[in-house]
Amino acid sequence: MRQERRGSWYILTGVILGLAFGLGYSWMVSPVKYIDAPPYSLREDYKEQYRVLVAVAYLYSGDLLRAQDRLVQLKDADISTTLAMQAQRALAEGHPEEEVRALSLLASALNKAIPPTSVEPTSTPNILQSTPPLAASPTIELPAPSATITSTIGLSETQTAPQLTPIP
Amino acid sequence: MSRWTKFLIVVCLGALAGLFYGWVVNPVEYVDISPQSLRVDYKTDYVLMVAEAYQVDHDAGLAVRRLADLGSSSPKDIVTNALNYALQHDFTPQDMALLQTLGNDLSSWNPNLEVPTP
Repeated sequence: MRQERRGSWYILTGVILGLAFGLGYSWMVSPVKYIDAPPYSLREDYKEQYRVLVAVAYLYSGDLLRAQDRLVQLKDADISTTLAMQAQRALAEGHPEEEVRALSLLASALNKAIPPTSVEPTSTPNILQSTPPLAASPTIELPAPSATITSTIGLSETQTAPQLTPIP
Repeated sequence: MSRWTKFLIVVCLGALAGLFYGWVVNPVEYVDISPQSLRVDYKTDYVLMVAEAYQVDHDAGLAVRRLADLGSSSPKDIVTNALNYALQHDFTPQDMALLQTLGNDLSSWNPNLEVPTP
């Protein structure tokens, strides 16, 4: 009689215990591991380093399309503004001059490549969707950046066209 | 069936439901990862960017520090892996040459000869 009054609470207790064990194991002991992550999952400081690398690589190749394709992987809302802001921060924090110059040059080049008047809020990636996947390694040659570029952070610098090192 | 048996069965069912929820429905999301966890094509592109940057600054020490973000393997191995991936995926000869140049220069790079920055 007493056992019947206890009802089925033990079932609910078991389910809760089981759920707690399952969630604890899957979230804390053995969580899903991502080993094939995209660049937009990077920590913010790594993202900044990624942008620096893209910018310095652009200094070498002058390949704006490839630089855009790489930056799009970070899924920044506004690529050129993000670059310009990072250039400002780098300048304020005393990062190497080359880094600041590369970031501001790329930001400026992107601004010229995508004039604000021609960009609609939902159509920003248009130019980028035509780029080949990374693995295919884009081969489109674009004209080198203009000879004189005024950086968006107020620096006026004269930049010669990227120097192409002879390929052995 | 005794109460204890039923109890153990529902504990197991609950655990299964919890594992399914934690692994499939709502798994842990990593949003602050390091370049080490990047997919292999992104890693290769990262190495290629380091190689391109190396052509600008010719600073092997800086290239090594940049490559160190991709894992604990030696910089030369990282470049070799990237080169292998590039070979298998028809990268342009220019890109291959950049990776090869970086790999060759890192082979002969001696960290002890690095001039410490003030």
